[in-house]
Amino acid sequence: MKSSLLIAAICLGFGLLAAAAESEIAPQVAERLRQLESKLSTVKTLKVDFVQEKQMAILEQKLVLKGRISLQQPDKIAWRVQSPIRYAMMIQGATLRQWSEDTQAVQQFSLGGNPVFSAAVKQIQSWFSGNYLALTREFKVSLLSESPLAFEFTPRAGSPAREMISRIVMRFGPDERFLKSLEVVESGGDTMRIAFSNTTLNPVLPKEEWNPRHE
Amino acid sequence: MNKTAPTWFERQFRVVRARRAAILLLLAALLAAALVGMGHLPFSNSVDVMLPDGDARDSIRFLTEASLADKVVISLEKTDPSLSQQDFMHAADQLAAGLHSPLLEPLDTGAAATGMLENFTQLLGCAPQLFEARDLAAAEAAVTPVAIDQSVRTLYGDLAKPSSIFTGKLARHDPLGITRSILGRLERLSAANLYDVTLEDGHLLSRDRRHLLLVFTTPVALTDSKGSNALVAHLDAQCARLPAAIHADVVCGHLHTASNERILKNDIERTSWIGVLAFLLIFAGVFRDWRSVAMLGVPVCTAFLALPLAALCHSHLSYIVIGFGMVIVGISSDYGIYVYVMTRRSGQPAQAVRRIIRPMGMGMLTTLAVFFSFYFSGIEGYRQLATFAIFSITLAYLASIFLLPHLFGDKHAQRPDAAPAPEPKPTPVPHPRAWVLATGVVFLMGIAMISRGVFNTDITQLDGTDRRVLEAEKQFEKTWSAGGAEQGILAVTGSTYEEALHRSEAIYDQASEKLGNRLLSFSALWRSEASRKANLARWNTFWNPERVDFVQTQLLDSARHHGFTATAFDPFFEQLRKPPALGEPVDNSLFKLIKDRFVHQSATGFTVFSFFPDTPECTGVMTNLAKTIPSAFCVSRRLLTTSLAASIAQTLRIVTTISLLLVLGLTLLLSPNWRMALIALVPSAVAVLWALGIPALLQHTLNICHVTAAAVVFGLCVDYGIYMTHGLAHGFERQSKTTIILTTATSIIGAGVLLFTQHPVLFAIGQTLTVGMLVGHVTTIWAVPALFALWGRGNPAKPARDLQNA
Repeated sequence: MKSSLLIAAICLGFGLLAAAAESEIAPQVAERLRQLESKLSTVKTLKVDFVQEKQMAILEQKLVLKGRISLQQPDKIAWRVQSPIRYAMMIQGATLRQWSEDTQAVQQFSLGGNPVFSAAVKQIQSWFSGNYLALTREFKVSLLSESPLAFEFTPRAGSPAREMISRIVMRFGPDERFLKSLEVVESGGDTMRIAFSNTTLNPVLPKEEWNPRHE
Repeated sequence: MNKTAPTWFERQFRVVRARRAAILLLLAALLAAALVGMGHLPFSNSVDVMLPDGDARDSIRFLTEASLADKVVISLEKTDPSLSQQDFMHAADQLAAGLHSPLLEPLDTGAAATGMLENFTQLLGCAPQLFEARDLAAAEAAVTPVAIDQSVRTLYGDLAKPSSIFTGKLARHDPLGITRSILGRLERLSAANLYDVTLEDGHLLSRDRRHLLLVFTTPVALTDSKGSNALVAHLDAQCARLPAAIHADVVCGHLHTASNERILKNDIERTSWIGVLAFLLIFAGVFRDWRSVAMLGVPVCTAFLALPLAALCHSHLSYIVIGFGMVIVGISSDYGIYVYVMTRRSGQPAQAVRRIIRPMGMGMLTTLAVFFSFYFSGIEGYRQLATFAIFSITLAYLASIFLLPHLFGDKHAQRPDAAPAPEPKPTPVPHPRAWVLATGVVFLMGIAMISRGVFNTDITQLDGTDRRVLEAEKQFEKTWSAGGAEQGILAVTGSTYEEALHRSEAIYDQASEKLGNRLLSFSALWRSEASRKANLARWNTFWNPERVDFVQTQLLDSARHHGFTATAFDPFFEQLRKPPALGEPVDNSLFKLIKDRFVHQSATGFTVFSFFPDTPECTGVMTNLAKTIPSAFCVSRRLLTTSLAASIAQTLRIVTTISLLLVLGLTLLLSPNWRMALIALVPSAVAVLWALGIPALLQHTLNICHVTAAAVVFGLCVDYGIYMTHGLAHGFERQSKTTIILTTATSIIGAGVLLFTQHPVLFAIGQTLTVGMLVGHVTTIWAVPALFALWGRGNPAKPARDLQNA
């Protein structure tokens, strides 16, 4: 009986299963990504300030956001916007918590239960986690520049990202241990550029860093 | 010499003897036909034949037959932490590629994942059809000037969020959140995996990313044992190629099919060999007469003849019934032993056999009575068993009386001039009161043991599936369960899609008031055409041209104020001005995905499924509502447990009452007097108590198989009691004892071989029968003579009525 119910639940329960794309990638690009991953793997924690510029068709003017990103491998990311509005988003595994000054409340939900948010968060995790070879399943990768190191990621046909993103350009700092800038051209033509500064590698991150209300 | 006219039995004896070669030839032809026919009999390995008729069985059958169980799920676990995530996924991809075959098709819903934004926005275009009465108040509140300004301000704030890459586009279609509730419902249903999974690089992963899930569909039906075996072999072969650092747990109904069949077939083969060897050893060792093999031959042949006869009465036969074959052979071999023992030293076999026709017939009737009561059990497996046993035992009885004496050859031939064997004198029983007292103590011990028994109605106990399969399922649940309550399922069927939708929403509307978001239903999103027409009318009334103009003015004003462009919300206004259409978005892959998950089409119509937590409150609400709608029913573990417990309790009441009444009635009716009848029943009573008491003492939970086997013990041990009292009354107590020892030995062999089985149903039956018959035998040999010596003869002045001539 239990088995019948279990099997029925499985049969009725599972739907999402994206077809795995073959990761075709030029050998030299793959080698460079491997080297990059190797260097980034030495970064267990990170703290960095950012300036995000968004050029959007629905806005009259460019939106400039300033804030800070904290990261702790393998699965913690804190994204804080400090101006012009205050907002914080914490991802820990498959759980997301967010706070905004408008609501003054912390919302928490599972990414598994929210495909909309999950898709966007997945992109962020991919950019900052340093697992760029894994991204090659969804993106074609080309080497834009050896020094400073820069890659262009273009979504493959049929990949979920293609719907949102036209291309991503990642530029790295001289030591290639973290991103210097990230440019995203969305499929609708909107663009976003994030420039990173004041990068601190492997700092000791206090527990409060993962509290969305924390400044 | 006192010669009397030959009786009917003696006359037929002579007739059969004269034509025995022709008769044997005819029977051999019948047997050959039966053996050939065996290969074409419809056997089933499903455990559901052991379920009581009614809701529970219908529910389980529905779940397995409604094309639900066409999925094969593989949970891969990364057991070595040093294995990179990329290599883990690569190995999973290779396994998926290896498994892809005519037997397994990977579940491809990539389109829904890739076209999510497009799908969502397209479905928002259906908003007019989904605009329900409960959405009206929120919509009214959203179109005030203050609310419009607040919405635009919030929208601006949302652009600071990383998720704006996705939500920003959706906001252009609905800046005021009019369709927010629709979006919420859509998200809930599309993400309703019931299990905790995240999508990563096209793979379903657990939270800890150590587990990966592969899902396939298969065209192999659960009832197709050959196909299931091929599927399982394919799965095993491919999973064996995984790297050592990855462990695979496969979950599918076909594993149960293949495993149940394999275990049952192995059990049947093993018990058959052990049984045949044990029978041959006993017969050769005790009788030292090769012709005694005929005693074993008769019940075996009658069992083979009974199988096709039983198959004629039922649509299929369970392997469990075949597994019971050796028990039936053990029971029905008793009649051959009676005949052999009574005739081997008799110069007049016809007369000797005639003397035992009646007591043997009484024994047969009491045994048949128990099996007859199985027809009232409401369990198909027991009905099949009853038919098989009744045919087999009746044929064995008839063959033993009319045929067997002729198979013993000339040694046992009728010699008309032979004098009847002298009647031996009864052996006095020393210390009968002590024996009776000991019997009383044994009886009380049985009661004490049985009082420790725990009865369990969980039918998983009857599932003979390999423990490794069940362990894999447990592990699966542990890994992937979201940690919430188990889910119950509401199934609403209709002959047409519209009818099923209409019925489903009727329940949903009432249930959602009580259960809120705990109910996951297709009706939360999509309704029948009539309801959608009403929604459309509501939408048109709400979004009248004046309101559209007003909102547009207000929105553009606020948008300008917050830095949005004048065209920022054009998609929203385009949607409002477009004449709304009525129809299902059949091309939308997200909608199709949700519909496929919640709506199933079969040959008889459509079924809409809803899910709810299997808690007492939710299950109670849903069950009551399901009763109000035709063709609606709930399935959940809680319901099944309750329903099965009630059904099994009722089954047991009926079977035990009917078998008890029939056996008691027959014993009292056919015994010479009530004293002898009661004495004949003592071994049965003690045997039943111990048959159920020993498993209880061993801390085995008792199930329906134990109790029904105990009913068989009751019927069989009455035979011993009857035969012993008959022997005591007529002075052939020694033959009776010999016969009872031999018949018990054969019956215990027949039942005892089941102790070597793996299948829980067969083992439980074997355990109960073996213990019961052993205790019944001991009580018959030791207690019945003592009881008979004290009370059996009644008034010494009035001798017991001759059973033979009664």
